[in-house]
Amino acid sequence: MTNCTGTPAEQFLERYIQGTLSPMEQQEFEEHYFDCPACLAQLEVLQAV
Amino acid sequence: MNLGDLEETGGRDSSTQETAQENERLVRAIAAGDREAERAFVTRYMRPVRAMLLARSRNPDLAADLRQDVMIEAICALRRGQLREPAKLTPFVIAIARNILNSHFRTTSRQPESVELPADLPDLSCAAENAEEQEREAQALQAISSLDPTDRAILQMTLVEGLKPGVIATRLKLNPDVVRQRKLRAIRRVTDLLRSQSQTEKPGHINSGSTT
Repeated sequence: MTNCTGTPAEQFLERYIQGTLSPMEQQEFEEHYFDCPACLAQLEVLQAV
Repeated sequence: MNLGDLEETGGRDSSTQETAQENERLVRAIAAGDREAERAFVTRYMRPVRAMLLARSRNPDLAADLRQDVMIEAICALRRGQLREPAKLTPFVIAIARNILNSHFRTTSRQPESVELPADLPDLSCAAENAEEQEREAQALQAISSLDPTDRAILQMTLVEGLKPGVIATRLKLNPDVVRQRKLRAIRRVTDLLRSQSQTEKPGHINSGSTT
C-alpha cells in the first residue's frame, strides 16, 4: 500500500503519543498512518510498551 | 518540515494513487452490497482505528470497545452511499472514529460513576417485572415527548416505521448525516432522561455518587 520508510512516525510518533501535536499535525499524522503500515506498526509498538 | 515533506522524502507518492484506487474500489463495492469488501474494509481499518482511539483515549479497553462501533457506523454509512468522494475514505473513517470517541466522552462526562452492586441483592425480577416494564414504557414515552419535534419525528420514523436515515432525510428535507446525528442525539437524550428518572425515583437504590 505504501513504501514509506517510517520517517513520519520517527518525526511525530513521540509527540503524538504524548498528545502534544497541534490539531493539524495530529490530523495529518493520523491520515498518514491509516494508510501506512510502516508508521502504524511503529505506533502500535510504542503503544504496547 | 511538515508531514507532506516527510511523505515525499519517504517515497510515498508512488503508492498514494494506488491507495486512492483501492479506497475507491472498496467504497463502490460496499455501496453495491459486496460483503467481501466489507470484510476487507474491516481488515484494513480495524488496526489504525484502534491505534487512534487508544492514542486519544489512553484506554485500551475503551479503544477495543469503540472500534467496533466505528466499524459498524462506517460500514452502515458506506452501504448507504454517504461518502461522496471515495478517495477520501480514510479521512471519512477518522472523522467517524473522532465523533464516536467525542460522543462517548460527552456521554460519560454527564454520567455519574457507577458503583458495583453487592452480590447478595435479592432477586426481585420476577415479581416486579411486569410493573417495571410498564413503568419503563411510560417513562420512555414521556422522555420521547419531551424531545424537539424534529428529533421526535426522526426517532418515531426510525423506531416505529423502521425507516433508514436516507428516507427520513428525504421526508424531512434534511441531510442524511444530520438525520443520523439527530437520531443519535435523541436516543442519548432519552437514555439520559430515563437514567435520571430512575435515579431520582429510586433513592433507596445504590446509585451514582453514593459513598459508603
